[in-house]
Amino acid sequence: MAKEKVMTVEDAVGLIKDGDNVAFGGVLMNMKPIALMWEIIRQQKRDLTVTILTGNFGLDAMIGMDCVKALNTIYVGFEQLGFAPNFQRRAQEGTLHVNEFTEMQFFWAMRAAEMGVPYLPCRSGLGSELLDVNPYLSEIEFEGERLVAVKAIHPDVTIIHSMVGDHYGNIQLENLKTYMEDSIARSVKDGGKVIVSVEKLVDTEYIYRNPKNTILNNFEVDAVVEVPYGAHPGMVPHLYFNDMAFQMNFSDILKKERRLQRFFEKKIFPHKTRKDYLEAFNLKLGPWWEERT
Amino acid sequence: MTEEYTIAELMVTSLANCIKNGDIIFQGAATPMPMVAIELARATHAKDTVYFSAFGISPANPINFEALLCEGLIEVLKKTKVTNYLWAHEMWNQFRKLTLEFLRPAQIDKFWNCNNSVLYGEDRNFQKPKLRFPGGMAVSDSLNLMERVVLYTPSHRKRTFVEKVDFVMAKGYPLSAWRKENKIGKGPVKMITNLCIFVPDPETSMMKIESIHPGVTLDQVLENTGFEPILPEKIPETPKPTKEQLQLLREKIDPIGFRDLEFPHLRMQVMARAAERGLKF
Repeated sequence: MAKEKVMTVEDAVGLIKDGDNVAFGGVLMNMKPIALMWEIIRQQKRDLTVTILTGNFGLDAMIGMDCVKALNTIYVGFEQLGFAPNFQRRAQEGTLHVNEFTEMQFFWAMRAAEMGVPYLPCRSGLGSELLDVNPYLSEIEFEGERLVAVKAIHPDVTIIHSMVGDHYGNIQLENLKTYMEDSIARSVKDGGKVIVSVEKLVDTEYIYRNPKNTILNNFEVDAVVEVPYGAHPGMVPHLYFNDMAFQMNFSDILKKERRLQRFFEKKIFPHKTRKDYLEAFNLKLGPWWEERT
Repeated sequence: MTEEYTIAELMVTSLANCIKNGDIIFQGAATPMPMVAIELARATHAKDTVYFSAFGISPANPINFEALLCEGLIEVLKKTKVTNYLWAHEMWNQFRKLTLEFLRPAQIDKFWNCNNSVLYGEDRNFQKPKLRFPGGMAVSDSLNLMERVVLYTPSHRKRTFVEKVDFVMAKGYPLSAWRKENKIGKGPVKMITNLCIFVPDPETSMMKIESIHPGVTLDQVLENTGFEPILPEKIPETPKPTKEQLQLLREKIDPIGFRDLEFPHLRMQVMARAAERGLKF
């Protein structure tokens, strides 16, 4: 019998310690574990190093609420909605350390850790001054060829969002490939914690019926948290689209520290249950959630 | 501006003319002009072009720009037939097989070095920059690994075209021996602006004017460029859009003018045209 992995949002985020390196899955506003990010803010985690391919509203809020001291990333911004104000301000003040990677380099750092090797080589970034400012990058020579060595990043905790999972930590995506959420989850250091939020908790029988959908197996996961609309105000392909009204309002709120604080105190923290949150933002659980048991 | 076509249309047709039939193009979702140019090329001279985008991989079916503009990405995901999407593992393992991307650098110099990372203050400290940009995403990957990259910018000005970039996020030197030795792509082979087109000089890799757009003077180009580009003996005029290209663009591919979204002052007009056609946001 495999171990029971289901946890509350509070307990799962409680696994994170101040000063930890925490990696997150998702790309742009797709599949971001936003509900868990907001719990990180509520629990006032401090001095985190965040390892994240692309940072968006969730990350900028974490920076604005003083949870983050350093970043491993390729991009932090809101695409057509503009720059991420807290990221930009703190980087320009010199109080947020930024290790910038190219997209391929970022994944190589995750995959090296996943594979248990110290680095992976690539040709991306040859001649770039990123090698002078990012300690994870260096130039090496192999049989006369110059390559960029990307050193493995071993986070203390890795967090991804997915569609379904069972009580034992088998995690699946339906009709969708990962954007390397599997590699990001597996990059965790030995003895670290892997946390997965899922849209719907299902019976293991459901997992057995669709084995090709599995992206992480039970032994690779420490905590499963059921959070419908867990990527809100972002999107999960096939299930829900970006909440544009929320995002546009929030991109403005992020510009002022006091407004941001008030927004969390009034609009996010008071919800006792996920149901309250869904009602507050008018998010409906359609047939997709009802059909899965 | 001339009456027969807009600058956005001239830039779109110039971008489309860079596409070869059979190209495997990788293109982001927030670059309206190249997206329209890809569909224009696929409707004319480059029918076998494969389009990788945020919507997935589409070998044949055009992206629906109306849905993208008015109903958002999820509707495009439903309406555009794709064979695959969110493809990260496959894409990064096979990235060198992609042949073309269109990119918009924040800062570029005469050797085509690109910078989307930081502008330095006096102490040139990466960890305390004067201006922090969002970051390079996959721009450096493309500039190194892809067979070729075409750059563009709808606002040709001195603060974009500089003598030397503050920070070499991606090394330029297109067509150079350095690229051949390191077994990487040709690099940026063209820069299309609202005033002119630059190409790399094959000897020095430096920016050279290929052509100047109809109605634009050489002085205008030089006044807005922060370095001295190489000039050909006689400077040709950029080819105008053909009748066929304009008709396809306006009537079939992009009737609401998605292409104009790269010009901030035209955004409201695009929205108005969409509303006129009864499209909801």
